[in-house]
Amino acid sequence: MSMATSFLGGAKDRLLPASIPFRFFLAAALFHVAAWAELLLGAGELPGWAGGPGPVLAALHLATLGVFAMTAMGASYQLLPVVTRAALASTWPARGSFWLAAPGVLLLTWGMEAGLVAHMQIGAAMTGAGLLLFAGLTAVNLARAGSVAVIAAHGWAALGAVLVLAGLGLTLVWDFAGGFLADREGLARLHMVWAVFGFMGLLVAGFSMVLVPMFVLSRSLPARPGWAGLAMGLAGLAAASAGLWWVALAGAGGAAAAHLWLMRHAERNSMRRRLGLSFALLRGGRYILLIALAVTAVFWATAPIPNAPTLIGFLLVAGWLLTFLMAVLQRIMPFLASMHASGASGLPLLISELTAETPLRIHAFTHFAAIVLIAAGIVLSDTLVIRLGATSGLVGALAFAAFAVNVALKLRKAQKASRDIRRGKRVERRG
Amino acid sequence: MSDLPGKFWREGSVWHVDTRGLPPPEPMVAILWHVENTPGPIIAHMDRDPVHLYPELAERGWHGELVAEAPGDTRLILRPAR
Repeated sequence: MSMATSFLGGAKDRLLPASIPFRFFLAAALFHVAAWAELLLGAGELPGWAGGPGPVLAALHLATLGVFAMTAMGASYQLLPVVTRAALASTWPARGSFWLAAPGVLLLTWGMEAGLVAHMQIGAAMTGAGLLLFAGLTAVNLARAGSVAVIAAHGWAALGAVLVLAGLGLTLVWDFAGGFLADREGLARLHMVWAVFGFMGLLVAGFSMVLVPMFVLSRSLPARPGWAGLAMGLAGLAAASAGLWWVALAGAGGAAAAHLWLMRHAERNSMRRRLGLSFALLRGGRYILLIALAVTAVFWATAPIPNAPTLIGFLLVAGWLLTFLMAVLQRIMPFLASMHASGASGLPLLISELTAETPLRIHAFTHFAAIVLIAAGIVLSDTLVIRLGATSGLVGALAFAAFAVNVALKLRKAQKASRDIRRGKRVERRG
Repeated sequence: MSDLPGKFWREGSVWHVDTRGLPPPEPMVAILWHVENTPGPIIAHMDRDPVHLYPELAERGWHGELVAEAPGDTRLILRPAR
């Protein structure tokens, strides 16, 4: 049995059809473009933004639900069965979650941009249903995971967080119509904390314990710092929910320290000589997380930082999480495409043949330029600087979309060629 | 080499790498270390068909052949591609 046939045979139970993860990744790449475009539209209102409908709210949710949730869903469906060694119970909920969440995000963010409450409600309900399907399918998979307890525990905690943040999000959307909340601002802050540090933060910490050693080729990471990070992260989330904000910040800081120590440990024990551009993004994202936490502490210690809440939110969402996810996407898309695509020789296509360096370099440069310019624009309340930054981010997002579409097209071409070869062999045998 | 995960031994010109029971990504790390440091062939003893290994093998100009597949005992012969 050749490698190609063994690859498609024995592994088939854990390898989903390529169309499932790739539909999520391509949607994430397109929502990424839309998020920067919306921020460009809302540049004028960004510095003093305090919530409420408009382009800034739409840009925020295009990033969090459109890019983060889509990437997390696609990556979880493909990678969790491999990590937990248990195949997905069924693939239809994965497809269903996409067809609920992707149009749901579009409708929700359209409603947010234009202030259309009915659009927001239907979009939020569809997105929530998609996330619920994702949570259910992932829970079934995690329940069958025998090993990797620390990673599974991060997964369970993230699933719990997604239920909390979805509940808070739906309440906030319905409040746009009814206005029944006494403290809307407080609930919105909690919704953001559970989204950023709960759902996404816990997934980032858990997945990084497998993905980063896999990317850098290092031994598996020690579990104890992972458990410590999880405990501190959960304590921080509980403290935030109880209004103990300094305790919450200490929990987030402790969890970030454990995560950073583990990532540094993996990189120091790497078998690879060159880690490449994606690691520049991963490291950059980690530094921005530390800066965001430091700015929070300084601001709460009553230092006068202009527009600090917006600055902190921007650094966490665009600086930390978006940078991390773009780094992960640019690594896993060619990798997964290579697993799914066989060349004319019957061997997998090379990862290096499936990637495209130029758009990724453009993206990395313009992305970091956007973070610096927009952060400066928020502090200076300078709309022109924010517009320049958002334009830079938009150029980077377009370059990234070109990279993503290029990988998908190469995968499709290779799969078609492989099907044609198999069909030709069948005809030869019959002849 | 003593830091490498798994067990490994040599029979004639063939290296054997046994990664059964190791958590991900240690099987891949052990096998790629041998791929980069031995001329081949290598017999890899694994728990299961290693889906994530194939792109990395191809990237290094190697290919593999599945010679036995049973739950908990999958064997591949790895060689540089001709």
